[in-house]
Amino acid sequence: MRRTPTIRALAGPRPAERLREFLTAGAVLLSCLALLPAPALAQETGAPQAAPASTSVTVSYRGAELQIEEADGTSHRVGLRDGSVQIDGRNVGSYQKGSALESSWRDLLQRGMDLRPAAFAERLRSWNPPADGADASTLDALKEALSRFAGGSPVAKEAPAASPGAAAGTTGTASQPSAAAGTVTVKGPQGGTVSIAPGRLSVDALASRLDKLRTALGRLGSQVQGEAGDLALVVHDDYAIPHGQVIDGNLALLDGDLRLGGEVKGDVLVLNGTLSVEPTALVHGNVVQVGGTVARHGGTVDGEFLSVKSLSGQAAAASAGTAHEAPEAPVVPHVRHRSSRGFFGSIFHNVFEAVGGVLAVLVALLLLGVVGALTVYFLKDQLEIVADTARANFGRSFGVGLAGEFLFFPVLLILVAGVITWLVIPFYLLAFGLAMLAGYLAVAHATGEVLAHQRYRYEWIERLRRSNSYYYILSGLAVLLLPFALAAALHLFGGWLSFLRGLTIFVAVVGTWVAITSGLGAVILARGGRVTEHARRASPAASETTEGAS
Amino acid sequence: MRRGPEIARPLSALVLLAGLVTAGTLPRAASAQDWLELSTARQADGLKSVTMRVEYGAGILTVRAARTGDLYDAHMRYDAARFSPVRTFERGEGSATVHLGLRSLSGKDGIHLDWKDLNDENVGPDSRNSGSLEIGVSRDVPTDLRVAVGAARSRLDLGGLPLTNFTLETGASETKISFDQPNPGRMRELRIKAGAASLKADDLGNAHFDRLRVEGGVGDVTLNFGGDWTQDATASIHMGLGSLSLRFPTDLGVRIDKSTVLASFNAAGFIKTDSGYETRNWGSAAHHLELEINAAFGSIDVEVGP
Repeated sequence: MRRTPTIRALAGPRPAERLREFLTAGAVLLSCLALLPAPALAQETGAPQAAPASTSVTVSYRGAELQIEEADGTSHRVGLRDGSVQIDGRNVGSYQKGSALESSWRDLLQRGMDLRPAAFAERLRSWNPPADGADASTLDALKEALSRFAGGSPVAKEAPAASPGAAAGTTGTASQPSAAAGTVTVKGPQGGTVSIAPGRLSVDALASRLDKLRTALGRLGSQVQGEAGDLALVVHDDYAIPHGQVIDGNLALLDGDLRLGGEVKGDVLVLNGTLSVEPTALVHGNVVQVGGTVARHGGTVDGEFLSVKSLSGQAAAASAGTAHEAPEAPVVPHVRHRSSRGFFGSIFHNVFEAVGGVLAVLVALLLLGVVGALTVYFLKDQLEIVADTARANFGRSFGVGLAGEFLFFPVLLILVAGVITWLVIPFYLLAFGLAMLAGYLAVAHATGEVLAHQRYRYEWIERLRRSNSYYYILSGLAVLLLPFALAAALHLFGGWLSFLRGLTIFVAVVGTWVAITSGLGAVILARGGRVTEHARRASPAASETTEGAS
Repeated sequence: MRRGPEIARPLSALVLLAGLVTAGTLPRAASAQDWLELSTARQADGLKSVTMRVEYGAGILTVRAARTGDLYDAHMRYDAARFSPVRTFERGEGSATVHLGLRSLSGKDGIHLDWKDLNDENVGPDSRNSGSLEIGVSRDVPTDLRVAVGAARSRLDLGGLPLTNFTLETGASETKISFDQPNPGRMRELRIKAGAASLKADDLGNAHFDRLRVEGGVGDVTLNFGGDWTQDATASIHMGLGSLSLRFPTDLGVRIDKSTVLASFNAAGFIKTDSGYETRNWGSAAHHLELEINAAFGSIDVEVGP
């Protein structure tokens, strides 16, 4: 019966909870397995000669060695090293270095590194060592050892008639797996049973692989999810679930080739190996792949096919290049996209942006005003001289300021190059910064002074007129910051006037730069407000400042 | 009178302020990366229609047809330290809603990334380590496809897909849309909203849309209306600043009603009438397209050809 479709959100906390439950189930399963005596496990499997549990290859200039670990933990070593053929540390003969035998042996091991243990074992057994390079007895010993250590044929190839009801937790007339070794049934963590197929793996090796699965799933965290519940079947080697067989729960493929033609009522979790989903397959849950391969030949999966692979340790860019044939990257302008918040949402957003921007400008005006007022209070004469210099010789001040800005970095480089001058660098930076700030304030002062001496048509503006340096500074700063405030206020219109807003910001930035540059030049020309040579007053009226005048 | 100490206080505050500002503008320290590849697929399983929303911030986006029998598939490559995948599936009676994409962990959803994200060497599409999103859309199930893209290089091969609606919202991106095969159904609306973008759409006639709406902000927009026309349609194009190129097939009757401000308009193969510009075959063409153009600044080039 097909599961009734339900609404399911796959991104969120629920998958993580399910993953935790699944891992808990795996942990309990491990505990159950650990309680089983290893001899009993071996007895139930009845496997005459198992394929190696793992293989490792060591290749160096001096030789090439193969280490085979059997399912029961027994380890064997076969190697050609420094002219001698060694089996389990025993010298069984000699070989000629650089001979066809050594080349063939190295090639065999290097190719085997990419194979699973069962497939590698098959290669080892079928290997025919070239006669060139060693005597016949040595070659026979080598071949006999490989045949012995590499174990029997792969399960799938020798699958005899299945034993009925071998896999607990399965139902149906054809519920038997096609494994030669049958399955082992243990108690499950939630009172049910768990089948392990083909059931000839040592408890330690199985625990190790389940631990690997748990690590892989845990590392990927909430990216994967599995249905809560028991593991009904764990597959660790070549196996087949034929049409008609039902797995009543989750299925985990740890290694090997799993041909799935039957029904799985839970999720299928693939750690390694190849899962072949046959046309008759029916999976009610998800197919989650954290390694290995899933080959889809049809079938029905109610849930999701999900594959997650970590690229850590790999060249990310290289992976991107191979994954998709991407064209050349374009140059992308950096523009913030207008959001889609709905009509009223956009209005509120625009109002907040505008009010926030205007407030920010007011805060800047306040801060600069305070600094300006302090400057007037303590350094009024110097400030007025610089302001007059900027006003009377604006072009010259701008040119000198521009030159000063151009010279900033060369001078800094000279100071950096001379080790002894490093001590001067902080003072240089501070002096430059202060000069720009003072110049900006002086230009603001001059701007305010010009405004104060204009004739205005409206009487209320005339009433606002003041003639003192504090007023000059404040009004000048207000004028200089006005474009920023306008740009902020244009947020009210959202994206409609984005071009005009950009233009206003551009004007504001350029205006500020011009003010700072000419101010810096005025500071330099006036030697910080000590030289009045360039500070000719533009008009006699401009020279009169009356502190506190109303 | 000594003024040094009095001056030193506000100056110290100023220097501190400048230091804070400088520190704020320093590049962010490179954070740890955790690159993942995630693939997901789901079978159609008897669905009659699907609404698919695709959301992608920055990187390389590809949209194409899914394998036969699948409702969708998606392949995402991303830095898990910065993005999290979005994959939700809601199934109703005969229909479903799918939401796929990558969402920034900084709290910005989808396309709403700012310039810092776009400049980020691990995020932007012109970065060496850019991520990617590849989406497969069902060949069998009628789909309402809505794509929202931020700063991405996008290629959308929508030929032959049974799209009932298609909406593309894109920020700063380079986008190529292609309908190289006819839509087996009929599309009610094809809507493209481009911010600062280079947009090119080919064989729009194969889309079989009833209505086309294009809103362009800043950039170049090229629309090729070739393909297999099976019905009359209307279209509106609103351009801000940039160039607009339109190319129509010779057998299609086209009428253009334009409203422009400081925008040039070149319409080769059109004749001016009281109601706007028309192709010479307007009265005899089997199918017609009525087009309204509003443009502020830039250029509009229209041509008729095979």
